[in-house]
Amino acid sequence: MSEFKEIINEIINDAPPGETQEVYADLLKITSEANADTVLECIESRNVKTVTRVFIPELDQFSLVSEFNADKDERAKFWDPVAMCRFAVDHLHLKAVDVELDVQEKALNDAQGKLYEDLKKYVTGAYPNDVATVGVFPQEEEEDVIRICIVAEKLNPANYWNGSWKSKYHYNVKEETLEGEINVYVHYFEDGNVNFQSGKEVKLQGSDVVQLIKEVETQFENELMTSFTDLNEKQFKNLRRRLPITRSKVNWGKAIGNYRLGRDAAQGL
Amino acid sequence: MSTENNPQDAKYDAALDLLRRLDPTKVAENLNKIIKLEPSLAEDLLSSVDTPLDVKKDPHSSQREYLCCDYNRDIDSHRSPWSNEYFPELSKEDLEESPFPSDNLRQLEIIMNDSFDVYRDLYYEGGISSVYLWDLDNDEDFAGVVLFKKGNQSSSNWDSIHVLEATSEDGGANFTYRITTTIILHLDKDEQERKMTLSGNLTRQTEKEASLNGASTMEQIHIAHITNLGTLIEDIELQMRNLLETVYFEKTRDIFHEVKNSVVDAATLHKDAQTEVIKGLQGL
Repeated sequence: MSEFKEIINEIINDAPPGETQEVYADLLKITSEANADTVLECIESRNVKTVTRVFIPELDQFSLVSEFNADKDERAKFWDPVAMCRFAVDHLHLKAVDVELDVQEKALNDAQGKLYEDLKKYVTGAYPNDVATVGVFPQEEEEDVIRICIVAEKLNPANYWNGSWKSKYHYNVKEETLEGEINVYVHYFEDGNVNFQSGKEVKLQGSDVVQLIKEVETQFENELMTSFTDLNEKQFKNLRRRLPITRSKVNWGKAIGNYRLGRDAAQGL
Repeated sequence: MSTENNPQDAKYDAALDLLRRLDPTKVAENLNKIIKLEPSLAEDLLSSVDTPLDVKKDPHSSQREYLCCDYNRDIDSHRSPWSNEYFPELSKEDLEESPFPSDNLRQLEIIMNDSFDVYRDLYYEGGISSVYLWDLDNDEDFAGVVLFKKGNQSSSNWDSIHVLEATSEDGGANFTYRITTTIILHLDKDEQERKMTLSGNLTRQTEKEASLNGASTMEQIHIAHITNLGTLIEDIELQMRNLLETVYFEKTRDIFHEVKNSVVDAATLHKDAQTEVIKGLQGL
């Protein structure tokens, strides 16, 4: 990869959820319109690598793009085994295009279908309305493995904020092991640029995969709430006081030197 | 200047927009990346984008620490507010070109450093402060920057950057103080299998007119400026601290709950159950 493309790639990987179009426009203004294809390539590989929600207008619903549902022969196409469709993607606008409906060949079997329904039920209870999309992707090359992705996103750029939650799991049915990672990204950018990021690695054992996911995600959520409180009460409060220990504002002017005299006197200097 | 007509301005605006979006913990890295993509932006970006402050030691003031930013930089050296010298030391030829405040302004700079050092002690209970001033075209006017840094290794850091301009009104009886404040606040928690970062910056602009209270001697004028600027910066920092607390600990948490919330769900379920009970009762 050229140094130029490497920089573009790093910047794209750093783009907050829901702000890719703005980052794309900025990069073209800073460099040149001639680089549109390079930037788009980076966006496409980022979308696939991190698992991203795309809208299917024909079905009026969201699906996912990831390396786990990419077509083996035609990498630019993706399968949705539940909606039973295959589609290409406009990666900049996160919209499915060239949608082929009613394709049966990747349909889930009964056990996988039940898993999907159970996950849907869990997600409906654990995430706010309509923000989360679930993907259940059997893997042809590894028949004991099922890939599970949950992507939740709430975008509100008009009020200067965007947020996302992405879970990626690898469940081995035979060994009953669940491995994966969860990543959270919140961006607030009114008169500034504030971000909250967290991630957790998952490694668990058990036969009820939905229960495992439910437990680990709830636990992570609770840990984050505890961390918020800790960061506020311990670290933030130690950085700067709200008021001086005297509980009154500073007496500016010539007399300010008295504080130092007072402190030195208190220390017996 | 209209940005539509000037491609260089459009590039600069795009770079600032990009930096407002990308991970704020990597602002220095991202700044370098953008400059690699478009080297002509280097000077404008380096002088306008706030990054966490560097710390240097002044070998001519008992190794006392001071803060470094673009405003006290010349070549690759930074002027210390304690000895008024550049470190690493510059050659004699370079020093002839280096910026220094005029004698009168240096006197004000010394007292301001003293006063804000007391303020730092009272509010930050540690950390480092530095004030740098520079002359403006009109003799009575001046500009400057007031800096504070408090850190705890890498896990929490606070950088306050107040860029100020003081311009005389009504023949010098009153002054208008314009202050642009940026606070860069970084907090993180690194635990086994889990890392959490709350980080970023907020910027506010403040403008206030204040009287010099009839000050006539140089010393009185200096004291009046310090009183006006000190009071103003103290108020700004109090407001910004409240704002940071709200944004970091309420706003981001609320946004997080917009994407994942099993707690509210329990409440909703409870409410649903209640509705069912009420419906059931009504049906009786």
